[in-house]
Amino acid sequence: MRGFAELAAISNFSFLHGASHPQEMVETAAAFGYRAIGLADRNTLAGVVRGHAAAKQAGLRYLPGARLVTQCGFEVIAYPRSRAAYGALSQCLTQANRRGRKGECLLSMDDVLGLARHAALCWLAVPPLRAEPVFGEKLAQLAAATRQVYALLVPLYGADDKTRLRDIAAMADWAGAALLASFDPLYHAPERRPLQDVVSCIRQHMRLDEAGYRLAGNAERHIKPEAEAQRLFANYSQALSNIQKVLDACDFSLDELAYQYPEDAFDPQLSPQELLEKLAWDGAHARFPDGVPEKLDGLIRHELKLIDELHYAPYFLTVHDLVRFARAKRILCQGRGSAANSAVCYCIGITAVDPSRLDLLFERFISAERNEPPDIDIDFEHERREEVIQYIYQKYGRERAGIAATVITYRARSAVREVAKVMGLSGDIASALLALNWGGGGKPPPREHIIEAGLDPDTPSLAATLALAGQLIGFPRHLSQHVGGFVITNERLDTLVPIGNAAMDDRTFIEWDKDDLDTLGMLKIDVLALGMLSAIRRSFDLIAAHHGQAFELADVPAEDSAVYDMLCRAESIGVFQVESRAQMNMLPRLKPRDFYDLVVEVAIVRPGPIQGDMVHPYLRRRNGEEPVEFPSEELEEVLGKTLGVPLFQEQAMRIAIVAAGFTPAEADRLRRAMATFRKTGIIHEFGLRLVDGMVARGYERDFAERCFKQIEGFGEYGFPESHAASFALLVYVSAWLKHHYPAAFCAALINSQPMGFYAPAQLVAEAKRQGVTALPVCINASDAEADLENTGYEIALRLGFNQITGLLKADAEALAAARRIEGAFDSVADCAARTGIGVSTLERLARADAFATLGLTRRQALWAVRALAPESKAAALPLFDGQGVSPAVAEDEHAILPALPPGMEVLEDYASLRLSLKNHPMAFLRDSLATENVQPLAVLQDAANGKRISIAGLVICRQRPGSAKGVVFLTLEDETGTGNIVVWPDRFERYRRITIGARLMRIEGRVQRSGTVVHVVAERLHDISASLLQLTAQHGMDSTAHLPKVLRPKRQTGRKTPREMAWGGSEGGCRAY
Amino acid sequence: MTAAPLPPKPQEPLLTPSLTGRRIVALWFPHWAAETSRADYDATQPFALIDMHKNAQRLVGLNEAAGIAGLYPAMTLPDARALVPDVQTAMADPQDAAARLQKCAYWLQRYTPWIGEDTVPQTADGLNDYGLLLDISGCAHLFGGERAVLEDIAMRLAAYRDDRAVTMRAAIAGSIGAAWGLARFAATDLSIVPEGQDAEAVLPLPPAALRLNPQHIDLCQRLGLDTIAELARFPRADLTRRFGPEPVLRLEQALGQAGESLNPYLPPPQFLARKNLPQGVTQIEALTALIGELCEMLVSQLQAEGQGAQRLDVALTRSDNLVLALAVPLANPSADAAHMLRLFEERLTRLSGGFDAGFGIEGLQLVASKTTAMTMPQENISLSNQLGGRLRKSTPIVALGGLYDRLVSRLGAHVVVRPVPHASYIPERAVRFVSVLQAQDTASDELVNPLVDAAARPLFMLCAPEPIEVIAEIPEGAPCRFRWRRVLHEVTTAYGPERISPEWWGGLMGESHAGAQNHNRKTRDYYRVEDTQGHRFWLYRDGLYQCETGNPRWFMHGVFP
Repeated sequence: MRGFAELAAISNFSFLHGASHPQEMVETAAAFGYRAIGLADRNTLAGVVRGHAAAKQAGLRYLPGARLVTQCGFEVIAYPRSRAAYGALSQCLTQANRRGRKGECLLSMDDVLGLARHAALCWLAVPPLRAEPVFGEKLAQLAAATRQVYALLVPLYGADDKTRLRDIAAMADWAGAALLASFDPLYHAPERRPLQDVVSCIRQHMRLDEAGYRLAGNAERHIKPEAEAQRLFANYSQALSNIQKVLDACDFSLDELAYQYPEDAFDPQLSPQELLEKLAWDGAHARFPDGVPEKLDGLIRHELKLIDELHYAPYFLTVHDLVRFARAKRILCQGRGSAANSAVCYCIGITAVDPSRLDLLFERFISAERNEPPDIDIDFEHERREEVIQYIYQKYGRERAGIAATVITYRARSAVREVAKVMGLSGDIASALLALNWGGGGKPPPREHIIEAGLDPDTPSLAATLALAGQLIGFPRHLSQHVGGFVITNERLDTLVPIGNAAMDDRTFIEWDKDDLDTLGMLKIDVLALGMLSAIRRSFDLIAAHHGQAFELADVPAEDSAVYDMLCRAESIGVFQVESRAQMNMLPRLKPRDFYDLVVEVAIVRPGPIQGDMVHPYLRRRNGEEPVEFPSEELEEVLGKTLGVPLFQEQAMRIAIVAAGFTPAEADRLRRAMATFRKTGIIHEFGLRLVDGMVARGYERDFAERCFKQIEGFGEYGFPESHAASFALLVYVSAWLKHHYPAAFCAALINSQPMGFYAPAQLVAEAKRQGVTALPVCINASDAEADLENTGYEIALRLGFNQITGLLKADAEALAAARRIEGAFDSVADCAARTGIGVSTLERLARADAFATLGLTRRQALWAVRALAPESKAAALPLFDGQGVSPAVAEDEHAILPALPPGMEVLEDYASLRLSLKNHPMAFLRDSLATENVQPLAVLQDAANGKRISIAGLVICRQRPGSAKGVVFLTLEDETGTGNIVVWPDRFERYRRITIGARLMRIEGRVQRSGTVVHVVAERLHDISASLLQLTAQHGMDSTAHLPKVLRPKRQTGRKTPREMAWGGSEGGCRAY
Repeated sequence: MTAAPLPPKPQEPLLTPSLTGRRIVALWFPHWAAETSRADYDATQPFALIDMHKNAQRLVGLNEAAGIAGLYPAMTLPDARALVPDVQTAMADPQDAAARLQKCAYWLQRYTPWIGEDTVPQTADGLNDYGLLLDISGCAHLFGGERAVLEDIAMRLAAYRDDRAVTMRAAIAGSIGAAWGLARFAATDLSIVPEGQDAEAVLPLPPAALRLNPQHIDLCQRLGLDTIAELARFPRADLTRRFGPEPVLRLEQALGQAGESLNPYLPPPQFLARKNLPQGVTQIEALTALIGELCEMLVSQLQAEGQGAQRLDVALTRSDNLVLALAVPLANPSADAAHMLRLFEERLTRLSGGFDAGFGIEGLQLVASKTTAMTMPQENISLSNQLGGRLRKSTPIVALGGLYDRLVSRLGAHVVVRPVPHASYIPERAVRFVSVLQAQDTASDELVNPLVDAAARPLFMLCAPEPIEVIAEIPEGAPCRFRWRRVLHEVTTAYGPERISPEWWGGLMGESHAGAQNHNRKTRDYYRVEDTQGHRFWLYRDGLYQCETGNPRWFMHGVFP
């Protein structure tokens, strides 16, 4: 019989069992001209969608299945023969998953037999290495339950392979099962055997030389040419012909998983489409009481028609339902993603971006040809997102709603760590390897770095380690839950895909990730958390409470020129998205004057446009230094709004279609290839096609190459226009709040920490620069959080107890509550007695100088607090037990203790509050610095270009962006302001230790001025952290240990700077904000 | 802010130290672990010992240069490398460092028998701190005074190794507390407080010198109590209420007002039997008899402690004070005098030719220099006879252990080896020869090749595979006929192929796999074949046809009986 098919393939989604990607298995089978391939991973369906997509592309028939491994060690592959059987298989795995902890699947023989009896599956039993009778017994049990049972015949090339196969055949015959030929491949090609051995060792926590017989003795478990199959199974022709029987029996394909939108009756009278139309028009009239503008009216009609054609109404209604819930609970939210900036979404309240202020074409996001669901991500306040998640579970039940998985893959660092362990590299070599700068991506460090670290990359063991680690990179390691991607189905979710337990209690997630869901065209809604929304909500609340003005996102007055003036001056600390160093440099150059400028501002400082070298052309054209011209007429339509320079992801896609002749489907594949950089080979292929295609159509090669570079950049950190627009709105709103209500905005940001680039110290300093009065934490005036306080002649910012490091929220609230009931505290003992808070909390309050209002210094307060310590119980007289505080204790609250020098007061402020309202630590060093000719940072504003200067300050920010080729950016702060320092790589190498370690730095360098942007290019760096010790007047040996933590030398390497790398994909929002 | 001169409160008269009459030396070795490490490094450059500590690889021991370069204890290794990229490192071995400290303590017994462990063996970071306490009351004059004692110790430690000194700070005071604090916090490396002046010496030190726990040290700092003097001016009840009892106790201990005992090192038990003879003995037979007596004495000591000897050392002292030493390792721990004696007999007989007793042996000493806990097997009294020895299954092993000992003592430890199974598919590596003193009987599934029955391996394997000429089908057919040692064999039956791939990692994983280099790097297909004569052979094709080699060669590797 001709036409072999491999039906027992596994992939690396059988975590640490297989050594090839599903795509590789499928592609190899296709290359050998197989009739079909069946992919069945161990107790999971996680890899089947990838195999499905690859098989579709290769035109190969594909059987999705699972290899069920019971706890008693029986291994059997199950292929569903119908949609219903697939559902039963998925449910069976779900049950087994739910029994164990995360990543465990506790499957019993009874589960398998039950499934066999009730669902139409094909069963392929995998014999163990030694064909023992117990296998025959299990096989007989299975054969008694269903007729479709096969035993796999696998040539293993053992000493007695022929006997083994004969035994298995006899057992199968006895049990009533048929035979099936297979290679039981673990990898697609024999060259993967070393990697297979390595992953086996990783799984079993062994070194290669200890693993012995746990590894395979030869490299035969790979996909082999059909001729080999014919030769090896010559004696078992039945086993070959049975392949066709299985293929005939199983005609289930994943394409049958037609997705149905949840059809919960939104309104019994109206169809979903009618309901959506009603909501849209109601919303439009509510937003424009004086009549809907004509342009918007046309847009709404157009979009509704398209939605009707594609039957997307239930999707919009589902999203609308979430938004409505959030509104009702007063949770701020904002939609983004491809379909979010449509007129319909504006009308039904999913987004507050007025579509008539933009000019986005709806078809660009929902195309009739690609029958793909629209994509809307919704950001919620990060502290209240959980409520929305609980609402989803409550509304749809856990049977119908689930969180998507994220496939955690081996990255360079983790791959090297594991391989080094398996290869038995000595600890110091392994740690030296790991100490290298691995970057965030999937590539090992360059040779020079390895040599620099004192290692020889040509040592056989090191070379092997690096080569194997290189192969391991990108392998799935385990599944984890996605930050917020929800799948909601109409039928039971577990009949669609198995559900597993997450590490978090009471959380579950499905086995497929976003890409898989995309492939199958399933609806997903990203429910994301955004810190800035919390801050804006808090600002609105504070403004309502203290200024009596109520705002919502949509009512913030638009296009306020004073706000744009502020942004043009780069006064953007605390403003969403545009507060980074790079954005602050860009603001005065771009000079945003309207909303669309903000959209551009958000999108332009991204790896895409920077790598594509699109920033400077855009700025030149905007400033009129270069004529606006278009590479061709057809591109004028695409690039018109951005002055002929592609800035957004969609524009890059359109260029591929319009200028390089890609079909929309191809452009879509390009987008996917970009999003998953693991297949770097493919994107390179696309690159050649794109560039050649554009050149063939008469574009300049240079322009074409830049376009492709930009697409590559987008791949890692893409930013479509619709996202930029949603973010731009938050940029505008936060800037507006900062300009008009600086105190409220500052308080809201402090209370929403951790978020953004700046610490409370910088936020408060910025508010002070804007004329806000900041009041210290005070036992008798502060609230649990930072608040506004009417001092009689102004509304000032009052720091809250949350500013104190390590203070529990419950204690802070207890303090505020006790004060509300019985008024102010009059002593430390009074405070302790009325609030019942512990000594450690009181100590923190004392350290934060919160008792100053009682006339106690820090030390006196601490002395008083310690008298209440549990240790004192032993010394206290029993007489006073239960009668509050003894008079003896209350009496010596004002003990005479050495006074803290003013400099130390400031350092103590930093230690417990991370900021000081009293002074800046640099102020105390000013006199000694002045003798060394060091100037205050304020002089930078007027310093002439090229001038040599010596400055000093506290390092508040260290960045080494990936796109900046090793340049380090430092921000220094002193009592007069901040200064921006650039350290070029050669200086960095020379002053590495200081650049990384110093907390306090003196820098000699040259002023570099372009417009209003001033940098100091560092020439010499000095670590003057030790001069802080002058303030401490301490003794002892370990000087740094006595410094407050924030002022101690601290490491911030360029390896990972999450705050600047954030906004990765659309889900990146949860990382930094 | 209130300015705070020292309060005019009436001082409690307790700051005057009591005269203890003791003289305590505190030694502190700030870089002990690094400086005594076995690692070779350049002592003039930063060096650090690394260990897992608080979930990270951290520096747990530094040399002086590392401290100067800005590294500090408990720093994480990546931080350290960021600061000093070429820092020399080695893995820490705290047990070894502690053992060396103990050794140092025994060595210091030359000055006083009363050597104490340090009272605070850990630093604030939870790392090991290395120091010792010596009670030299009434001993110092033997060495020329107290300063001479310290200088002598310092000098000897400075010559710890050719390339490395052990840094030491030391103090002598009237109490453990004062000496401890001064050793660590005094301005000079060696400080000696004259009797009765402990308070003056201790009061200016920081509170950390009182051996307080880290929380209390921190509290003192935050209260602005920078010296012990400032702490001591408060009424002790006030202090106790705020700090608990510890600081006051430590203060009183430092001032000699509260007693504190030294916790001395005790040497481990020694198993030793000794005999001095009034007259020199030259006859080997007589010596053997004497050693037999020593064995009996030693065994009774061992049995009392439930120990078995793993190594025995005999020292024979000749009348001219020359010592003849003899060491005997044992395969199994033993407390059997007859067995021990037999081992010595083997040695002595062998020595008899070269044995030179000179004018006679005057002293004998037998030491069990390595022992291990041993359960004494109970002798079977009557059951063994009744059950026909079924319960005596363990006896052969014990007997074999005895045989091993005797063979080793006759032939040498590295010569007597036995084969043990090794988990490797490569046939020549599936068995390893290991010295009988190290070999252990292990039987586990891990040592069973899952793809091979025992019957599929020949009993006789050739030392080196011999090339043969073979006619076989390609690509992987069994041989039809082959010529080995010039004889042509016609194959009638063949089983196979059994495919064995090379261990690709061989040679990549350190010296232990030097053997892996020997076998070649091709996949082998093994066949069991039978020829017309009924002889059975084990042969293999070297290399996969067309994948690894164009023209595979064949080898004979073994013969079935």
